[in-house]
Amino acid sequence: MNQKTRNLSIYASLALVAASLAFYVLGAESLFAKKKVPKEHVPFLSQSAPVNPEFQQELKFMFATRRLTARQRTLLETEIGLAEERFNVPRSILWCTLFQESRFDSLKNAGRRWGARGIGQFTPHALREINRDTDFYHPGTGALLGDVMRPERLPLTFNLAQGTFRQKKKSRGRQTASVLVAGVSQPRSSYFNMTTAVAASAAYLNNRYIQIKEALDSQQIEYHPEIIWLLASAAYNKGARTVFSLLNHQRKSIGNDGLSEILQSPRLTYKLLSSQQALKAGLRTLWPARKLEHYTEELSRNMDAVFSCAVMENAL
Amino acid sequence: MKIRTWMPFALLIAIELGLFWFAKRYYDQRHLALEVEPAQLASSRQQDQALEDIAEAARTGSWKNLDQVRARHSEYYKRTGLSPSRGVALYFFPETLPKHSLERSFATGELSPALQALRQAHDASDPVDATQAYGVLKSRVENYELGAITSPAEEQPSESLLSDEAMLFLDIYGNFAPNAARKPSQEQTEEDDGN
Repeated sequence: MNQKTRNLSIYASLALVAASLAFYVLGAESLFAKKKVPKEHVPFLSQSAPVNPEFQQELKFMFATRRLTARQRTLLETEIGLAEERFNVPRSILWCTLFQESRFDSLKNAGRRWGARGIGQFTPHALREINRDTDFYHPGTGALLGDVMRPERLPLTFNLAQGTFRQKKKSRGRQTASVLVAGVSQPRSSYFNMTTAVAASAAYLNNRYIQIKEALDSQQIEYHPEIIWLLASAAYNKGARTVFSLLNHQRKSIGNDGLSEILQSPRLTYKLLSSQQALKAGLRTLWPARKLEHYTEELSRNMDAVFSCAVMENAL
Repeated sequence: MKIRTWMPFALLIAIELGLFWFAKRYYDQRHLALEVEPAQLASSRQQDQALEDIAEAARTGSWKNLDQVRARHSEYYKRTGLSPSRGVALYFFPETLPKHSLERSFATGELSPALQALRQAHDASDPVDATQAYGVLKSRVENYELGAITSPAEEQPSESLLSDEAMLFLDIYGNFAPNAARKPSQEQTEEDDGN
């Protein structure tokens, strides 16, 4: 190497070293951080669902095997549209939440004594909120549900119409099993009535939306409203306490601005709600170790499904 | 050109590029906090004692006793700067929740009014209202902690799935609504129809 080339090399290396020092001294924030500009809340939830091809394929299969008929789908879409008007729940969020919970089986787990049942997989305590705290979160819920259930009224129950199940003798032995009878009309006051269940599930989602929104407003944290619907779906699945714990953990580490950034970006919210590592970090103090693993796995799986179903592809 | 001559420069450039890459990766991931931070907590013995005292006061059936006991322990936390664990803070000492905690809105906007309604019913010696108020309180706690659904593997009454602090909270305040169903077996009818 001649002297000139050697000198050039030395200067280039020194320049690189100087740039690195400047980088560390001034902080990479100035180079890599996004500039804080007022964000317009561009909608990112799809107007129709599902967005993801896997669910579209699954729907086709459900039609082909008559697990879902065209008539049922039309009824469902109508009810979801009405729920959107009544409760302001984005139709894609409600559609995807119900699809993820039950694949639109309004009698799912109907024979169970405990646990989640119906199209929205409501538990008795969810029903109790609708019955006992009807207008607490949203003052019009009672009137709206009353319209849906007419001529019947609240309270909602898990009662099944007579003849929904029939005893079927097994071919061998004396055991009998209960078999669901298709096409039995369920009472309007029952959560197993599809129209009532869609409205009640929408009301519950709306309650979670209001709960989360009010908490964020009280702390003056900025957010995109459609992100709050996604968080409401997470709260539907695992309770508002889970959502608050996750957000508190993030805020504690990255501050209000950092949290606002997450809550205005569908991509970052998706990373938060679908990453088991992030979920475990935020929920470690909330759930015991024995539950943490399968709860976070369940939540991340559910939210991955809801996001891919409800959010436009280019937003993620 | 000898490799030996160029090697130090090449190495330096490679190291610098590597450092840039790691820094960029760090800032890409910085949006998500992945580490759990420790809190300044009171000792578990002190906390257990506080809960025991509250339970004892509730068993007397006197809200005044309960308020006094709560105030005494709350004063301890304020004086020492320590906090009870999150669950205990939420349900028993909401004033000790961090100022920016999102859980404050649940404590002040939902738990507190429900407790107020229970207290009014209890003070008015109205068992029907007290049962109803307790039912609302219980519903809010269950839905806050569990959401609408439960895991497919958990075919149990909702109450069994609550956090320990929530179960203790409901048990303690159930003393003011003697007719209210607090145990899973008592709730069998309720669980059936959600009423």
